[in-house]
Amino acid sequence: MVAVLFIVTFATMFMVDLGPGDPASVLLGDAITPQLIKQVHHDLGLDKPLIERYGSWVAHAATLDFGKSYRTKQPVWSSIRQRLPVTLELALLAQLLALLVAIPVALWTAYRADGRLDRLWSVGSSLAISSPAFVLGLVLAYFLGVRARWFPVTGWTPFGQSPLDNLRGAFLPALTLAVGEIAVYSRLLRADIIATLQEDYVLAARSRGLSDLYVLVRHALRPSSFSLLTLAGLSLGRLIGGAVVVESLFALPGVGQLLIISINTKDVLTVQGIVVFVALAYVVINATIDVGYAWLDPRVRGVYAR
Amino acid sequence: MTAIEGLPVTVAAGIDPTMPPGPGGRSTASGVATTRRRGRASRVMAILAIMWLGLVLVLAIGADLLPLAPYDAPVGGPRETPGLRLHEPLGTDAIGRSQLSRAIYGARVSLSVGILSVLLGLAAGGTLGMIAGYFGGKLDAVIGTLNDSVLAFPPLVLLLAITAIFRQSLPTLIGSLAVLSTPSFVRLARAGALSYKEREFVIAARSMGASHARILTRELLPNLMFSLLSYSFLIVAVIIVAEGSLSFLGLGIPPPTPSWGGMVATGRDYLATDPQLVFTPAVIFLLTVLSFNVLGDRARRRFDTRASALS
Repeated sequence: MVAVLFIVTFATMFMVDLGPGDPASVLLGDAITPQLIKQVHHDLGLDKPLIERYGSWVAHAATLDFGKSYRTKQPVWSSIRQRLPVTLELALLAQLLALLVAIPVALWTAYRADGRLDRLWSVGSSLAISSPAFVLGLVLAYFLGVRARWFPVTGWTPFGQSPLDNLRGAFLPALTLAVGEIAVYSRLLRADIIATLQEDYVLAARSRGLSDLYVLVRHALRPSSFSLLTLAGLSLGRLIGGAVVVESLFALPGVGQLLIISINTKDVLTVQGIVVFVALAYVVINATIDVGYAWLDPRVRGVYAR
Repeated sequence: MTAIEGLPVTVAAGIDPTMPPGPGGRSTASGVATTRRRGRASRVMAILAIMWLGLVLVLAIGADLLPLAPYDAPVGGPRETPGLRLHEPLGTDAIGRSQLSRAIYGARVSLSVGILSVLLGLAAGGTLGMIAGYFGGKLDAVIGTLNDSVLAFPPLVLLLAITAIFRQSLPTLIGSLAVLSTPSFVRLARAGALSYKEREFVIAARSMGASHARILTRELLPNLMFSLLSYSFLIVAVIIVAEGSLSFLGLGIPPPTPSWGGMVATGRDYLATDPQLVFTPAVIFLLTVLSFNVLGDRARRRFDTRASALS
């Protein structure tokens, strides 16, 4: 884990050196003199030995100081923080939507396994898993946005300004992100519920005359939901990747859009800051989930805590 | 971190992307009937998938021999709608270039990039994974750490970071996608090598004095090849989506070379008035990814020896 963190941060720092040409010439554009190049090298710390540079870079990055963008002259972290709420809201909303749809569907398709809806869902979810965000987003934007006019196709209203407009604007992008997750979650949960329904205690509950719905929700759902929770946590990486596409598609001012803008304007420091921030967040969250999983399910604790 | 992270989501979750598993344990009369019906449906799906991929492949390979309009010059008015006719059945794009020709040349890019980078990833990842699993110890730890480091980046973010560093070009694209597909193969090959290295035929080869290189290539490789290749289909699907997303963001193959993602991106400005500009390439793209998923899944079920080998 420590080694991974070291490699990740080192590789990200090294990004600036790997690029074609001198970062200074990219940043300075036409106004280029040897004096200025030296100045920029000094500002970026490029004139120091590699290990020293790494040390000071990590020390700064640990305090969320990723340097200043040469394009906007703003600290990189402040532009990330400014845009973070949009991306987080999208990810959370997508996660919420996915679980809200996937859980009832999984309950029903497990309860009536091989029924008509189950078979229909199995085809539908294959299609959903195969459709990338940029295709799905445009299809949804066309039918629900352009045709039906239920939701705006582009733009973002801050939540503080008008919660309702905010949610309306966030719905299509969040749904785009959620569709793939819905398909995966519902399949996983369905398979787990079907397995749980074979357990003796479900039979016991049934024989006590409890209703099917009660048995499904109270006896089968909870023990079946652990792998779903793990997957929901792991899906964060995909949500972040999807957010890049979706934010660019729906013109939302999130971190993903900033990443694309920075790549297009060769704003290396901002790219570097976003990449290392996202990667570290991803590593930390995944590690937390591994721990949280064991904490949640006593049975796992027994298996892994050797 | 869990052992499944590098695989496509559906594989990682242990689920079948095309069909849910039948009811566990109990098999009722109706369950058997539907399972059989399902088996037939899945075979039909697989045949359709092979037909579609075959068609796309033949068109992509033979594009130069076909009487196609040039993909980079206008052949008619802008945004002609698709129709059942010989002349430009898929219509024209925003500046009057042939959509059919662009779709076929785009297939060339998407397929060659997807297949080539997955083959590179398969070669690199398979080799590293086999070495890690076979030798174990420090070598295994080093390869494992490097692998985890690649996986520490969300896939698309890694891809974008590489794109930000290097100049946009075909080799860069194939290289970065190969890096993206390598970790899954490392994990698969490592798990396979681990489970096979104590088997009788390997011990027999070793006791006959076979070198490590010989055991790796002659004993382990043939056993791992099929399961690795069957996973390749699923990973090609993932990689084609990644390439499409990159092209859609304008960071893939530079124009005027057409790519499906790029076609969708240019059509997007006309979504309200001419949705066919988006939908034509989108449907082609979707069918291709779906076909790879369907076939990959069938291949995996047939050749996956992991479950039996690990138990």
